[in-house]
Amino acid sequence: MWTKIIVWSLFSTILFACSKDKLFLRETMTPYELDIPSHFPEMPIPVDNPMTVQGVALGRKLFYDKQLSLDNTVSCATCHQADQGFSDPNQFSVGVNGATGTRQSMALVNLGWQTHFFWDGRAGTLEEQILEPVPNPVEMHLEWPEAVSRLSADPLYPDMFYTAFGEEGITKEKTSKAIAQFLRTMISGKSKYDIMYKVQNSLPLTADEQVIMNSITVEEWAGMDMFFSLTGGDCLHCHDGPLMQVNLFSNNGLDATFDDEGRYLVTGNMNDLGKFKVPTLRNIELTAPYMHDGRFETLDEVILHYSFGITQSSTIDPMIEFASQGGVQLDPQERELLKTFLKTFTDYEFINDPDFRAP
Amino acid sequence: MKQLYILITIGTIALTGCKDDTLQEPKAPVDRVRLELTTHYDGAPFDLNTVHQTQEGYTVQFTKLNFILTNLENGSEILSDAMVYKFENNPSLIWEGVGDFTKFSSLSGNAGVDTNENHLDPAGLALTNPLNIQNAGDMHWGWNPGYIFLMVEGKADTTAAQNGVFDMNFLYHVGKDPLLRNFSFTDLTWTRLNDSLHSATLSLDMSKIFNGTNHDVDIKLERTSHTMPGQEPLSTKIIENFLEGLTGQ
Repeated sequence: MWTKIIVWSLFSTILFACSKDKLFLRETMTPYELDIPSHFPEMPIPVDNPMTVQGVALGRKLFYDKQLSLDNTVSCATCHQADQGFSDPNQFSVGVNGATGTRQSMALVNLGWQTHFFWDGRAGTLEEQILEPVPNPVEMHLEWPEAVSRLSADPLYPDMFYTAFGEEGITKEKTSKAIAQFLRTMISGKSKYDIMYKVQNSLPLTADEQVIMNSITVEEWAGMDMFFSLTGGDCLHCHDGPLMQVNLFSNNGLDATFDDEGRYLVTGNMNDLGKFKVPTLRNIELTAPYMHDGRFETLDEVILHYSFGITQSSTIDPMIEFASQGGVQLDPQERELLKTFLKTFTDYEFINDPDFRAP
Repeated sequence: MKQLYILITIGTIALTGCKDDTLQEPKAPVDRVRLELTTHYDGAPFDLNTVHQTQEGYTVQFTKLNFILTNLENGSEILSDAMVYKFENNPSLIWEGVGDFTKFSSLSGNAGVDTNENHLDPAGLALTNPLNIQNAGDMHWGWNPGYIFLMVEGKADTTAAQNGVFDMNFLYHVGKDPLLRNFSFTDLTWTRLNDSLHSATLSLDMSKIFNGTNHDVDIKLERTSHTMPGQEPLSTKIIENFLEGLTGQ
């Protein structure tokens, strides 16, 4: 009699305690505290993908894992190399079987504040963006069911997904969410420019920042003036603020006609012909080649383009005010100052952060 | 015996069941209001694709229209502290939020950001604040100059031949404290969209940008302003013409 009652009680507990174990697991998940610089805005985090230590660790492992490519030769990190500011030194990244695309690999930095992803902005969230490269034939070329199957058969991943998401099972959505969590931790805000930004806006400096401040040269300050001057570099319309970019699309006068129609391919709006996402200039010294098609190999070529190489077209950005004369007409000394300032965006602490390297 | 099993089962459910499905009292819907915008060019439909004629006979096409409205209120009743409108994001919506439409038959506010807020750290504002740099984006110059109150950009054919080829761009970025302007609308008509949502519509005549009652703007001669020293008079014309074109319905 008592045995029956005990057995029934245990059975009921197992049957109806539904997600107690899940709740317990969720309580053991550790929220990830982002290290956001004081002069940055708050980072918007999707409600359905909160940051956890376990999720970030999983995302980091996935980011460097070549299992996610057809022939186990390509990972996310292949085209987003830390030493290159998490971009690719190749004009066009080389995918599985030597396949190449038509656009330059974008640098991965401060992605948590982006509102569009890819050069044409076709992905509206980081999670959405991450789903694309794996099955893309010119990138990793692996269908998601096969990718999920590989991860499920791996000795480590099932447990890592379980601890990251509090439930059994691996899906492409969870894979994407984990990588997105890792990418959101990749915050760059400790460059010389950040000190200059703080000084300009009367924000207090730490003792370490004060040391860096004292090392900023006259040429770097003059380059900053050149950068923000409407009659100098005139760069500020698209590259400004702590993120050193604005979230918009622009035709920056590269071509008169468009082999790559850019944003138009997404919107179908003729006004978007030849427009591409304005990239951040953070770590720009390391992320050559430049432009959506990687046509410029050096910063000198980029500055020359804006000085004398602007090409008129139907959708050229009105903010390129000196387009009618071919550009802002910077002389060699001014161009050198501008380049000097562009190098202040290099954040060595970010580039060398061991937490962003392969686990 | 059977009753004992049932009792155990019910007890187990009560003790171990999740709290997630706790029944809650249904909440009364919160009243919301929507401020909408109808844009036209002297009565003709307006879009970023449409072409229009200025009073000088130039053909123009606008490529950008952004503006900031702040301190929208009716006396002591506050509707919203700030609204950032970007035509390319949503041409017909200026703002939507919590509010009781019955309190806003009239509405006053600023075109721009007053000096108290214009020079705050745009990254330090709450993420829900439209003036946070994450939301305002390209509507912010920097801490010292502050926000761009009004941004109008486009291209124009100013040639005598008027062959439809745009020969120049125009760009007006209006901002800085002295250019703050206020406005007021009376007798706003609120339309019921559903039980908890009402909307009022403002109208904006874009032709007024160039052809105001007090200010004429000739694109050929006045094609750009960043409200830099020497450009304030043109910026003044633009924002005052803009407000002349913005009316309640």
